[in-house]
Amino acid sequence: MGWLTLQALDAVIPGNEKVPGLAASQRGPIVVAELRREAPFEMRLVLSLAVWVWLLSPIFTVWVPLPAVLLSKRLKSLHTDRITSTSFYLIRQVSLVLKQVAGIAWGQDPEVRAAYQMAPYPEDPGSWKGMS
Amino acid sequence: MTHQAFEPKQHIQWDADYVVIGTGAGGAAAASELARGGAEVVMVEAGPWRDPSDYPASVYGSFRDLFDRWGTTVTRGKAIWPIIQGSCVGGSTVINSAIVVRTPGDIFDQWQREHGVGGDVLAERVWAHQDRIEEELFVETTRPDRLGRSSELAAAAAQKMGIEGHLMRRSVKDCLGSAGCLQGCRHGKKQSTNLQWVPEVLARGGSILSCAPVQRIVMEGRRAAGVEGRFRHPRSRRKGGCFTVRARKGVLVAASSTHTPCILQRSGIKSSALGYGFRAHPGCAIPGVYPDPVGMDFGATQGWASVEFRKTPGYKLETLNLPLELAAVRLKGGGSALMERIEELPRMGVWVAACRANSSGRVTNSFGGRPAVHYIMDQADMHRLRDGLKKTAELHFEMGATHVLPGIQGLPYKLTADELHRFDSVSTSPKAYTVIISHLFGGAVMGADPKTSFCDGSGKAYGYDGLYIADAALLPTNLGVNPQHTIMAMARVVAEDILEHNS
Repeated sequence: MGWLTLQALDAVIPGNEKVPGLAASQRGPIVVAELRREAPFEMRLVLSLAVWVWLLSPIFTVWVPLPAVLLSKRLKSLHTDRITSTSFYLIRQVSLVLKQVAGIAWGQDPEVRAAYQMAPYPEDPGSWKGMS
Repeated sequence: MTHQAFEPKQHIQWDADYVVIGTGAGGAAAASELARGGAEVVMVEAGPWRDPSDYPASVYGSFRDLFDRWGTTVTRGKAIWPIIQGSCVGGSTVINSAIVVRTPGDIFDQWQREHGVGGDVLAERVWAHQDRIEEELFVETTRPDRLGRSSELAAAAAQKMGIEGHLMRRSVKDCLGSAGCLQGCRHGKKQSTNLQWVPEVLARGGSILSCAPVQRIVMEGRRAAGVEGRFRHPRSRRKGGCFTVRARKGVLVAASSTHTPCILQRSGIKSSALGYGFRAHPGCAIPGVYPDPVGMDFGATQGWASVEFRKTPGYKLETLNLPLELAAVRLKGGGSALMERIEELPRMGVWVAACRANSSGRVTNSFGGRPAVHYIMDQADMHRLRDGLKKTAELHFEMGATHVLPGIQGLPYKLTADELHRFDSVSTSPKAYTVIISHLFGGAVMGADPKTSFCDGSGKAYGYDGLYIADAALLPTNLGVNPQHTIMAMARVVAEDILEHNS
């Protein structure tokens, strides 16, 4: 499921000649793994649902009866664009979680931030008062 | 002074004069007032206590470390809209933009007229507290050199169009303009309550339990006698030992408009008004794309606002510097099409229209004690929101934006200036809009009639002794302006009345 999640997220933000996509970024895959370990149940549930919707819906978007991971790069991109902006509200909202996770994982990569003239994020301490 | 964080096994038992549930704008303001009055106070906070050195740098870290359940609370109704709240010592004051707006005078008239509380006397008291709060929190107008280009553009646009607009007043001391309010301000400039009033309460002999979500209020007959719950680990969320805090004089509930009604319901508190009257300022962002770079990574997170349309038709306008991660999510679609759209990010300025919605909803307990917020915006409110978005787009075009990105289902991805009229005919279905719910009100509202109100004008629950509401849950209407200042001042009024009554 981890590999599949990364494939779906990478399809949302695949990168271009200027910036790496999510899978090719340094931090992106690490953040996705952390999120799948740390996020609350409801978020992981909706993310999983979003991944399956993305995987199984190319027949409705690009009219190809194949799972999304087997599509050509061009068709996968077209399918991802259409499924994340579909007029079916619930599908769009579920896909929004896919986009949100992709965005926060991709956007904290130092190379991505450098491409937009932004300083890299320092490490998140994750600490609190009284932490033992 | 004592701070007890996550305790894995031991049962912690404390007692005090007053127990305050929550340490956000309401809870910390009330606790500090009580402590200044000589009372012994224990604050109980569901989230952990983080200092600026503990704050995350990234948006991911912010969701994980500072937001209530990673921001997964959503409205239930025709549309699923996220509700943004903090969960840490300091509550939402840690993650908000520290905006300080005095309560408008017409609000007190409205409360008096519609709910039988308020009027001139309350207005004078609230404003007097707001004077003091502004001094304590070092409130200042955003400095022009810390405004950022997005807010500069908005201010200039409003001036050109003859619309009232102002630089935000914020509880930020010597802002650096790092656009990092959402991550809590690692520079320690934002004066959130975890940096100001919570330490003061401890210095005055109070105590705090953090990582300690309250399960229920302990009732002895009709008297609130304390609180109990179990510690929860901030990272793994595993449960720890139990805690019980006995209150000799009273329990103040200030856990937010979503959690306050839930805690009361779980505690067996009965009231026909409990959970009702939930309101908000639902908001939508409209990015405008300019020929030159705007750069949302510098400037106050929110530096400019207009309340010209607060009364009629009922919305407010403001700027919002979004982090790269969230701005990318706001754009339509995915794949290579999204990558092309992301190219425009450096040239975007994001401005927000937030509706002063009259619609009200209900908060109930859901699975696992989570709040279920039943909320649907009616058509009149949706029309207001749509009008606000159109006005926001007009402001963008006034300053030379090449196009705006309405983000409304049924409209094209981009709209140019000569397509503005398309806002007038687009759907007002809540499902067509990408809305964020912030500025929450109600759920245990104050009023003169116990049938329609949970508490009186002093926050005291009808039919119970020693039980008080001291946060946004008691506000019976929305405000049309940022509510933090009003919540703080009303909490101070509640605490002041408690001290006077119990002396």
